[in-house]
Amino acid sequence: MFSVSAEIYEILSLALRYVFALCGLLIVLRAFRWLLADRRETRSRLRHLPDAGNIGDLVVLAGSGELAPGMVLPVPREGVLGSRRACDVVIPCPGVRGRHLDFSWQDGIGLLLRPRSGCEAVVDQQPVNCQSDPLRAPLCHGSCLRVGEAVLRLRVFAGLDFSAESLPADPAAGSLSADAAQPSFGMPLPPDPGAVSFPAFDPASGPVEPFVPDSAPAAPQPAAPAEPSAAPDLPSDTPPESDAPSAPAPASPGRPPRRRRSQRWKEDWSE
Amino acid sequence: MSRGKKNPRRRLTSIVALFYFLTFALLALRDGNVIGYSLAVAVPAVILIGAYVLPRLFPIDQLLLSLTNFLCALGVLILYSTNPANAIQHALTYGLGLLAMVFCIYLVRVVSSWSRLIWLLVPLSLALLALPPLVGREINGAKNWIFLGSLSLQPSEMVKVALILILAHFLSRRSLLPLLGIVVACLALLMLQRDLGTALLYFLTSLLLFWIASGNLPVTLAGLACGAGGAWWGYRHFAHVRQRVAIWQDPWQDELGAGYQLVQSLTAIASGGIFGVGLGLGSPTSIPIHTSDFIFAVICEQFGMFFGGCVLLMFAALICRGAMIAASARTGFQGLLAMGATLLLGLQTLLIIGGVLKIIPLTGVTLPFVSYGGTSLVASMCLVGLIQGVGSLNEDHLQEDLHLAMLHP
Repeated sequence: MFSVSAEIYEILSLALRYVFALCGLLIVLRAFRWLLADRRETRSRLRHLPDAGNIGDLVVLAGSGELAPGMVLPVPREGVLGSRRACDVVIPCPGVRGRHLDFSWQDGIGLLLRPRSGCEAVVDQQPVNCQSDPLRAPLCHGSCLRVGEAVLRLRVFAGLDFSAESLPADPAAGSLSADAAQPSFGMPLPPDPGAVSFPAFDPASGPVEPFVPDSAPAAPQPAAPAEPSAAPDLPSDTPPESDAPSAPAPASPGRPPRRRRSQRWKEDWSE
Repeated sequence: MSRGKKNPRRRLTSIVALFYFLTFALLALRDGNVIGYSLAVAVPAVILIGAYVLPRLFPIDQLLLSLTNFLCALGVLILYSTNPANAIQHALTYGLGLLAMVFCIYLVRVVSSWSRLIWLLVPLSLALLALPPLVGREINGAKNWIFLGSLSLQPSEMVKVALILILAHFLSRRSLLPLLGIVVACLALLMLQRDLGTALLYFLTSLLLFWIASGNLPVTLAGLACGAGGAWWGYRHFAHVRQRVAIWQDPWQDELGAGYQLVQSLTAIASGGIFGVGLGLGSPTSIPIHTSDFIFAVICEQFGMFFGGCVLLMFAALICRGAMIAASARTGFQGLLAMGATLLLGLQTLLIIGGVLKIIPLTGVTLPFVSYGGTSLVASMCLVGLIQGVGSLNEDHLQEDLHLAMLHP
């Protein structure tokens, strides 16, 4: 096939080496621009999703020290709950160890708790310790968790929520009724099941202060962020005048207001 | 898409395709054979297909794929300039590597409970590492390879992938004692094979991943001290380690003997200068093992140190992308998996480049994606597949969050 003499090849090769160097530089610059553009895009998407990565909140019903009733603690998919600041959910309360328990969200079941050695917790009046099977007492939407002197209630974000009542009698079965909302990746979610009900709080479990909505003033903040700060373009919180459910922010014409998923629960949690 | 918004994939892919068209066409003009002209068309075509078609079929991170394609094609190019048969073999192995990458992507997406798989991988990995000392063949002072007929395999490269899975699993569950036992066993078997470069890679990856998972600096420093002690023990007991350190300190003291490799490599890099001697020119075959360990020296000789720096930056971009994917992972296991694979690729690159440039003693590891070596290339593609799998899960979770946010405003 067609070829050139060694002298012509040498001239071509020497001339093209600058082109190759330029190509290498352009490839590097474009690769880093792509990297930075993707990073910016991901950040802007996450700015509109302050709850991304979380499965819900733990609402403080009773606490002491830095943990005041009404505080809201975001809950990631998995992590450690304890009194240390490095924990994913920080409960700075007497009776709570530095790393008290590990938790992980299991789709279709709930939040599974694994207390560390020597630690205990109570889930809906059922004690759990390091020897217990986590599947026997998962934390579901509306379930109550008692660790140390703190009493918390889990609320799960829409689309992931299902109540303890919708679980099968045998947790080892691991499957939910068809009505329970199931997150499915890349597929449209089923319509709102409407059958989610919150388990009634048992007064016999001990004196507990009534739930106060998120916008309750003068609650000292713990080291861990209790609630992510609102994105600038979200409507600001309006303090409720009473325990009546607060009205949603007025929508701009043709476009509903963007609210964090955790704000949706204000009217649902009034008691 | 608005007029002002450029597509980064299109711009990067077009430059990469143009680069390889020009380079292979130039080499084809030198050789005048049909293989060269075929590669001048086939390689850019494969790059374009890989960039535009594969992401539609599989959940693939396009930037990672583009960078991997570039580096593998660079290996094919350099090998073709010295020995066309090696280039064809490398290209075929890359095809196999792509399949392995897709398999790893689906493995990460499909497997929900890793315990059984991990406990299967542990004895399998140890058994694979035990094979070379028993039935392997000694090459260049190390017993790293096993031969199945004409096919040679390097078990330590295959076990790299398993090691990352094992590390991520045990570290995410905070089971440190079993992990310590497994890592120590792997290191001991590698020392038996005298594959100290891979042992160093395993050790550094395990230690750094432990530090990332736990944040426990005192224990990490204690581990580093143990590693330094092990390195000192190796220096005292292995003659070839002493030789490598001596060569690193002054390769010219035995420039025609033990230091010949390093001297030739440094001479080639220096003779290439900033822009190189020209593709297809120079004398790359004068460097021993120029197809695997010292391929970076060949790149610098032919294309220049400027282009060599660009190759390093591409590796840096790949590492950055892997780290970003690891940081966005939703579970501890996924994050550690992506970070471990990224760390291993990054450390391997640093070790070999450092050895070639005489920054550190030579370790005998290969340059990921570029060096000639089937097992190494497939293992590197598997690591990229693990990173891609975690990246695709991150994207799924983000899409789900977006969908839920729109469904329940």
